Amino acid sequence: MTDITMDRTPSMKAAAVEQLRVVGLAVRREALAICAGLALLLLLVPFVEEIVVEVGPILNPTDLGVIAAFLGLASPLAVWKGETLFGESRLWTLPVDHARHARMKVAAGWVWLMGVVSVGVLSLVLFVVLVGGDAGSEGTRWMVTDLDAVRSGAGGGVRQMVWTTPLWHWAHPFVVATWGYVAVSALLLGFKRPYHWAVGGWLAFLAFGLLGEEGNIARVTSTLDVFMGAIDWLVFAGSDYSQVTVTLESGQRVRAWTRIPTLGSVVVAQGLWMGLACVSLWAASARSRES
Amino acid sequence: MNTKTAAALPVDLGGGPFTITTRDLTKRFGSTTALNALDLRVPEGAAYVLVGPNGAGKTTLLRTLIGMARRDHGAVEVLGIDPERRGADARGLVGYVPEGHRIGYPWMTVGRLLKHCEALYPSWDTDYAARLVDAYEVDLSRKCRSLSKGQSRRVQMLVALAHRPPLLLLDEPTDGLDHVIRDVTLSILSEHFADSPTTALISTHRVYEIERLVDHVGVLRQGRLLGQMPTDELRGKLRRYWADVPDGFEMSTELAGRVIRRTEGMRDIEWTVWGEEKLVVNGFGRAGATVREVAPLSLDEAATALLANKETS
Repeated sequence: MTDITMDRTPSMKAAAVEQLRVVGLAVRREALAICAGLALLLLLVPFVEEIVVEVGPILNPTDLGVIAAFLGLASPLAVWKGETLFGESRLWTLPVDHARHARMKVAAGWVWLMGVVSVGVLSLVLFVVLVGGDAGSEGTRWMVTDLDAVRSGAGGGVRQMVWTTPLWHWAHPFVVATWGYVAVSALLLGFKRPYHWAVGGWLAFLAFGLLGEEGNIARVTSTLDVFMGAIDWLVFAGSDYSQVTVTLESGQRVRAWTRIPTLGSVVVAQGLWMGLACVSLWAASARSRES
Repeated sequence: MNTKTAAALPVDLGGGPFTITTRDLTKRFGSTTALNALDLRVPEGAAYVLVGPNGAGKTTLLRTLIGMARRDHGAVEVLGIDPERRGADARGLVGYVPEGHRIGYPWMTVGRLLKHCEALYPSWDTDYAARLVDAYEVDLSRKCRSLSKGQSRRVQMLVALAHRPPLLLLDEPTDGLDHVIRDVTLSILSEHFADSPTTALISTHRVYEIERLVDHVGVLRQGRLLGQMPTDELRGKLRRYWADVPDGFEMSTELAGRVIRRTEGMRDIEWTVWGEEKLVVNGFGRAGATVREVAPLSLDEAATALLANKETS
């Protein structure tokens, strides 16, 4: 019988758990495909072992960045599939605050994403170890001690140092995936035509690079370089863009570090950008606020 | 065909209590005014049918009542709740069947969709849901995307009813249903109204299908509420008259404002007039005409007549 006095909204816990389940179902097919691919990779271990006899592959956490970024960028599409966020979405007809429900769904998707990234990282590490490789490089790195000497090209200005990949570098794929996921989720929630905005934004960025020097390819390249540098600073406090190519006195050319990002600098860089992404997500979901 | 004068229909339903109240509700989409200073009153326990042509604002009104569309002006109360401020609370009290036939996640099975709703509606009645599944012959293993229009509508009805809400907002509830399932739906609604104290606001073009269910009617055109009243009052006061008229007959001024429609047939003239029958017949008499026959209108015919009259205000 109808009881008008009872509370007819679910508890936040019940709504969050249900979103976790529903999003799990939504991304199930894609997640299973990834896991099947990884399982196939592990099945190949005996064959790869025969090929790799002397020097095994080295897997660095940063190597996983591209794959993780792709996962992060693509997974919101799986999480939100079937929802018409700017129309009669089922989500909007349910007895949960719209903005809160949207954030719950994003959070649920993130939990599943982290699960998939974890399985991916562990599988790849396992694969590399099983074929006799090394997960996380150990050895030496060249460090720039005198940048002027390096720039003069006369040789020198660098020294070798012992290097072991710090454990916290393994956070890299998770951070990259999270940032991509949050950014695309904000785009989907905030804009009626997110793809138009994404493509438009990218074209605008390229056009910005061309301003003042029409047809100057170098300018575009330079702008892209700045962009990639920004991404590098975003995800790893400039790991790649803190390296320069140095010619040693022996004539050998090596990559040397001008500085090595510390845990502190990485946390600050990533925290800043992650904060920006989260604020964007919050603003995008607030579009649906009800009180 | 139509009269040149305006017929004033009642909009005041007395003192209530009302399950839905809107005051001066206005909603615009750009330069288009979808709802124009709407003062809707749906009495508690009523089954209220909202009729109006396409684009009258019916769907927008229903969406506004559950916080899916934001008003530009005015006030809304649904079971004492402002849905714009407490949308979740309002939606928990409402069983909503939208105009469209999408039922959410195309990749989900119907069975999982029902579990999803069960998890999110604390008042979900599992036994009742199971009975509705049987009555509607819903295949729980089907994917939502594979459902036909009619099958989707059945699932939407099931979801709207199974948490036994005190208020139903049904937008074209019989759209896409075949005759058999439409009758099943009407039976289910009748039983639901009998079992659960429910108020219903039903928007439809097919008034004849739900005529026996409803007890109040509201007429909406171009975002304006032309009138709202109990269906008994509409049936009692809106009648069709056939009269023998002398040459050069002109309707008396006392009746001119009450004529909803005037239709010239091959042999006679038919008037649809709003008012007490006795007063109308006397009015004809004073104008020199003799009323030959008086007939009531069905709700569907009444709605059609009211909507056909562009002068009704």
